[in-house]
Amino acid sequence: MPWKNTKTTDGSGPGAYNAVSSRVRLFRTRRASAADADPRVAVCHPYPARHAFAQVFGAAVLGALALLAPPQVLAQSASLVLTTTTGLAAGLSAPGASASAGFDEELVLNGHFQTGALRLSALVSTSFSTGLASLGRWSVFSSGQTLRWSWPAWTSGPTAPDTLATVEIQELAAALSGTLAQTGFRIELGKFPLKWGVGKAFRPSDIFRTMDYASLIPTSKGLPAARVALFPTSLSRFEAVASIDGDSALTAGARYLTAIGDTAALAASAGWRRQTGAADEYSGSFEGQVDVGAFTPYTELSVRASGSTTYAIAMLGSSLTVGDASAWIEGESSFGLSTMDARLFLLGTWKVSELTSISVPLFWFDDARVLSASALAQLQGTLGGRLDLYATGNWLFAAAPAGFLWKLGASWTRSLSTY
Amino acid sequence: MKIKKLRFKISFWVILALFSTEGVLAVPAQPAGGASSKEAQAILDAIDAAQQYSSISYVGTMEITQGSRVLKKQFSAYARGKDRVFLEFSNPEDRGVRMLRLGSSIWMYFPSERDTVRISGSLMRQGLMGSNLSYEEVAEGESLKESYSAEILREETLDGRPCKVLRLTSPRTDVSYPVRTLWVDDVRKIPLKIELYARSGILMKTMYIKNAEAISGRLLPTTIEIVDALKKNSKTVFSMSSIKLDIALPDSMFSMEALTK
Repeated sequence: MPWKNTKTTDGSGPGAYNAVSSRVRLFRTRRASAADADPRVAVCHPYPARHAFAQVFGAAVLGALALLAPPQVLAQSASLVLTTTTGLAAGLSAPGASASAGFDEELVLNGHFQTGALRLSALVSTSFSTGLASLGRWSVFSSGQTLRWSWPAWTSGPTAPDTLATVEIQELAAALSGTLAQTGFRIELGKFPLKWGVGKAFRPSDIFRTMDYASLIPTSKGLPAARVALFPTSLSRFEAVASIDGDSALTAGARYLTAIGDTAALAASAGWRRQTGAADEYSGSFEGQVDVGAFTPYTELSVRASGSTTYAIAMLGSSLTVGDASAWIEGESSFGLSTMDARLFLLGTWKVSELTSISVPLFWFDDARVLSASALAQLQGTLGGRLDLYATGNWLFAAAPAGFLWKLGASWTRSLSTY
Repeated sequence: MKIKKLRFKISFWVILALFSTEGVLAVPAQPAGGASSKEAQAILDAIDAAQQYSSISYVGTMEITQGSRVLKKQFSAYARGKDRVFLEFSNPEDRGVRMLRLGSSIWMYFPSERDTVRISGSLMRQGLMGSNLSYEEVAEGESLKESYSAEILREETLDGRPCKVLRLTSPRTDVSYPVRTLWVDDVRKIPLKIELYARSGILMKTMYIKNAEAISGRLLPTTIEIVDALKKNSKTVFSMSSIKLDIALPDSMFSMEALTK
């Protein structure tokens, strides 16, 4: 069963939603044919054969790290954090099926080592689930996984085993920083998260397909990649990235991000993607965000050309904060394809107190005709960790009769540091 | 470079929640007039004079309490002038999360996604990392006297120490708290208690200075309790240790490069 780093970023506010536990999953229906036609969403494939390259790549990175970081090198800073999450859930995962319940446990080991200009980082996770795998089987990944092994072998789809163990190297990277012609630069190699775009749920600029919809809020997963970043000014960054994902698609692109005064940020990017069996895809994207009073509208526009097809994907959203409550609304639609792929995301959060927040996300996928609504309460400082309580409902309007799936659960997450 | 030659001066209140006022300052607010106001202004001057420095670094901790639940956060902080602040969190839950403030612009970095996020204007009133301290307060960069006019309300004894109670008001619409009440230690010239009010007159927060230490010849509050008046049983205790003043902090420390290092 897929999962991610559960590192907490915040008890509320802008970071609150990033802190949503990976244990909290949507019953996101596997997208129907129209959705599968969306070039951003690759169908999940059987796992092992497609990851030969990724595993070799991972081994090569491990070797490189060993060479770059001999044990005698003293670290300027180093840390090791162990995060444990224990979850219980019950729900209905398919129309007509019986409700089931399950348990899962996950351990995440996050290491960081920095000496001089060199930084090494690793994040390894293991999990064991019983009963919950089938509850989470609707999870959809935008591309195949890398450096992830499961017993029995499974990624996602309708044939989820009831008991599942996984190990995943979510991050394993080396970065080298320096200054060239008075401009800072950084070279990064390995598997690490890539995030392009300003959208909270939809990011047309994300040419790497790193969006991971397994949690209540999508996150960006790691990919084997090489990245060169330049920092021309204090608040701007140029980066060139090449990556390969679990579906063996090679993607390369460049992006420039800069702040405009204190109230706006802009980014522009261009990319190329090659995948076996498909025409090469070329893309150009724009991202913008500006403060307008209590509102902060943001947008992304990506124009893509693949073979003889040229199409565009546009996203428009805004955030609003009033007192202790914040709201986000985000809509995305494609233009120029045979079917218009429209999606809507709404999110409301209320900071009940410094340690308690309630979030209510809602998704509408027009193509699959699925409505997903959830409620999540996060109680930080509970028994030295964070307690998440959640409920999710999925309405499947494309089914006849319309189906309804639900899930209730709780999880407790705690992080420990060895040094 | 000699520290004395550094151009910018910041006060302790710029570093803490007292991070005083914010925005672009055109003309410092003036006291209303009268002997009481002049004396009050002189007290603010004394506070600033005793606690000005060009740069600071320290290890900060925030202990956030709500009822029986407690959450601890730790971070390293670096600040230079009145518009450059860099924080890096080191508690296990938030390890590697960083915050950069340049002027009134705040950027956060979340290592779990290698993601830099600009804290938008609409979110500035939210609590920094779940604390009673808002992003907006962190973004404030001016000293108290630059934005507030002051008057002495009365004299009181607080925790056995004689204090003058000052009322600070600001006509500006861009300050977090248009009205503040300060209990200032008569002898040490540091606030012992601060009440922060909304323009409507509602008490929003109360700060208690629990400890102060002499560092490099200046008396700095090092432990502050922040009580949210609108939330029951909720408080944040903010502490500083390993404080260094007037140290050289390069420009590169306050950049997106450092944020994503």
